[in-house]
Amino acid sequence: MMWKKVSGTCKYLLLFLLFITPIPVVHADVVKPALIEITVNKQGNVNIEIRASIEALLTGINGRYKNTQDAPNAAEYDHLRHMSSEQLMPEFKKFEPTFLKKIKLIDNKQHEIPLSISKVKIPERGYTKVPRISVINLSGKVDLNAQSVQWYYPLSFGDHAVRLRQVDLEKQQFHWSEWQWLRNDKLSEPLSLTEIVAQKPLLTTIGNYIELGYKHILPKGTDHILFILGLFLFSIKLRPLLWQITMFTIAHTITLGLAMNGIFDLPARIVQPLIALSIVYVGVENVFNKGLQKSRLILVFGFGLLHGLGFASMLADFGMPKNAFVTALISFNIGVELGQLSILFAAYLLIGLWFGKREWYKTLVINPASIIIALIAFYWFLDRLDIGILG
Amino acid sequence: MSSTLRTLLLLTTLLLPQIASAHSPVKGIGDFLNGMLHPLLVPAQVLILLALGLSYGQHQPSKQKTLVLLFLLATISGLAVSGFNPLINSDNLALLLLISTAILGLLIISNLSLPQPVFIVLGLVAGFLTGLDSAQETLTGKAKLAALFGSGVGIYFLLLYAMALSESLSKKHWQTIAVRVLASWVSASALMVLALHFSGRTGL
Repeated sequence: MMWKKVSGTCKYLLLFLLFITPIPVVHADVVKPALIEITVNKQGNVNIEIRASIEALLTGINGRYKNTQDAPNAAEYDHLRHMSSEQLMPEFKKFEPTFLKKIKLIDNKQHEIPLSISKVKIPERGYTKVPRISVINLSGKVDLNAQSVQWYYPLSFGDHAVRLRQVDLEKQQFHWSEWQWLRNDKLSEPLSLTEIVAQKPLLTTIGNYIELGYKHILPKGTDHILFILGLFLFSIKLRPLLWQITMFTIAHTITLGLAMNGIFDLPARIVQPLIALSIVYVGVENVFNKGLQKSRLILVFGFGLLHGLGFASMLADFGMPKNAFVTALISFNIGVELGQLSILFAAYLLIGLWFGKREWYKTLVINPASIIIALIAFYWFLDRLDIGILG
Repeated sequence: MSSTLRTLLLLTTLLLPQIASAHSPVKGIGDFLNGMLHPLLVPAQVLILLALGLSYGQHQPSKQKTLVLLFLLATISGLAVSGFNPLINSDNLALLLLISTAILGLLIISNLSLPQPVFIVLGLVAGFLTGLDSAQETLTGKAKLAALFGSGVGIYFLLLYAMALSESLSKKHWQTIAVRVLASWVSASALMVLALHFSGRTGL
């Protein structure tokens, strides 16, 4: 009974003390993540709205601390937090160059999109025990051919969540990506632009991807050029050439489709050296060939599968429109075929027409050219192994 | 029609040096292709390869193989030596190339049936000198290797084109005369440059 009485008295005493004791000057703010929304309109104009605590940005108090009071420079934070918006603004102005230098918006071709601060809104001091969330607006312009963008906001600025909104005001169309929660100091996952911004008329998409496929062979695809030349040198007669090219085309179409749909893929460090080895093989076999055999066709088919994976890695870098995936894939393939046919046509004009019927064609053209092709490809093989053999 | 097309292609190829300036690399096409175009951009090399090709084209195919393969070996040797950046006077090289061209041209015109070793020696000299004359002084490392490799390919195929043209013109009597006329032009061009050089009116 006695203890209960004391205990009850104590409780009242504690309650009384709680009311009369002055609260110590401690401003414990929870460190909140920044919310970032990137808006891109049909004209490619970018507006990035960052909702973050400028005080936390300036003091570098990030997600490492649950509470601002846990940070060694908590006093500095509190000092800033007690400033009015007019007082805090000049502090942020000094910080702007650093801020702009550290954040990045990169398109899928790895071009950095220049950003500038268009507006900063700092609310009044308000209740100082909670973080003051300011709004920083950035603006820029993205290339209309870009298929996606990636966002970087350093961890020193704090954890953050980012999403991208595509807008077509004219048609009143809007598309939001999923939120991405980022706290690993890395670029965000690609944020697609293909739903509205990069959406193009069908004919433009077809034209763009045919051009891309063609350019991937001519002039950029030296390894594919050598491979096709290797097939050409094997025999300039139409039948063996047609068989080989058909096998190669069917094979690379299969793996290109599978890889682009995410069904099957191999890492570039495996695919690229194997592509080089396939060219070495074609070159060497040309020297010792005894006419078209099934084994050659099977090998060409296998090499086609490998080359398809090579095409896919390049195409993945460029990006694919989600709304016209199949069209783009077929168009790219047509471009590749046109590139291959151009090589065959040029090879016929420059080699076949001149030397094809000469008695010395095999000894003086096929053999030296095939050896050269094999040597170049073997050099690429060593280079692509990336084990430092070639320095 | 086919023969006309081939001649047209050869002429178009030979006109390329006039578009690009001699010895200066064509920007943006890479070291290998620049190397490949190099023999086309050096008149002394074009002349010797034409002369040699015209000469080889008049031989039997079995002999042609030996001659061309030895020429190729000599060219590779010349390119390899030039890769070490020796202090070679390119004027002297051009002089030697032009003298060789004049001799070869005169041999074709005279239509003398000389023993094969004579042509082997001429081919070896021409190949080695042409390779040596393809030094890429301004390049280093992989770029130099690519350019030298390209030069080798360019030299070799230029010889083959000239040889194929000459071979195509070896079936009828008037064609053999046409080859000799072509050789006389080549020889005359070489002699004219040599004469101008020795008279001190022009450099090489």
